Amino acid sequence: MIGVTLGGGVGRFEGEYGLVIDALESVRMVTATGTLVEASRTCNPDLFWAIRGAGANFGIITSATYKVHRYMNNGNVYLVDFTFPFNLSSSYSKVAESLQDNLNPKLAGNAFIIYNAATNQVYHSLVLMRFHCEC
Amino acid sequence: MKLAASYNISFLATGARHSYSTTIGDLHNGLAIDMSRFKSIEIDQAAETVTVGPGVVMNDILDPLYEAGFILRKQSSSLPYI
Repeated sequence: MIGVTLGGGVGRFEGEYGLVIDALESVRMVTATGTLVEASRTCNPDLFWAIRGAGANFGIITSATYKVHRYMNNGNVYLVDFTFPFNLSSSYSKVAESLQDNLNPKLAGNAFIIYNAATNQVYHSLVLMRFHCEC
Repeated sequence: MKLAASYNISFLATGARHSYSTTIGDLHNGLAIDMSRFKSIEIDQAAETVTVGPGVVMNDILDPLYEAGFILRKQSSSLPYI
């Protein structure tokens, strides 16, 4: 999780809720001199800023604290999963491109290229997910 | 870290060892410091935070967070619907 965080932490909710790095509140880390320090917005803020975007080379993080949030709708989500045969790549790419600036941030998507070993077929897979609808 | 630095040995820290970067590709004959045993997870209900050790992977926190009533991402809507 910490490795993911320092690399940004992309995810299906980032359109509305940001990256995992945006949830990071503070860390404890060992710096190059072997000193254990805390970094947060109020403690060593320059170091905290540096690790949130400039990579993992400022030291070894031994502990990380994240803000979490209470979920609603009993944590239920609405999930729509599309697959497209690979020979439709051109059409699929045009559709994906058209969504690029138009996708509602409450409706987040992940796009994969997957291989089905059982059928020996390659597919485009588009997974769209939303916690709940306001309609 | 002090020992590696004093002997000029390059090192990096590893957790689940899933990732790759060009920096890692440039590292040769270095020291991999394995953090995978630091598996602590602490949920603070009042502060609404979770603190994890560097050996924790995403899969480790999902159930504990859910059982405590939390997710890592904020929901902004107040109208539930299934």
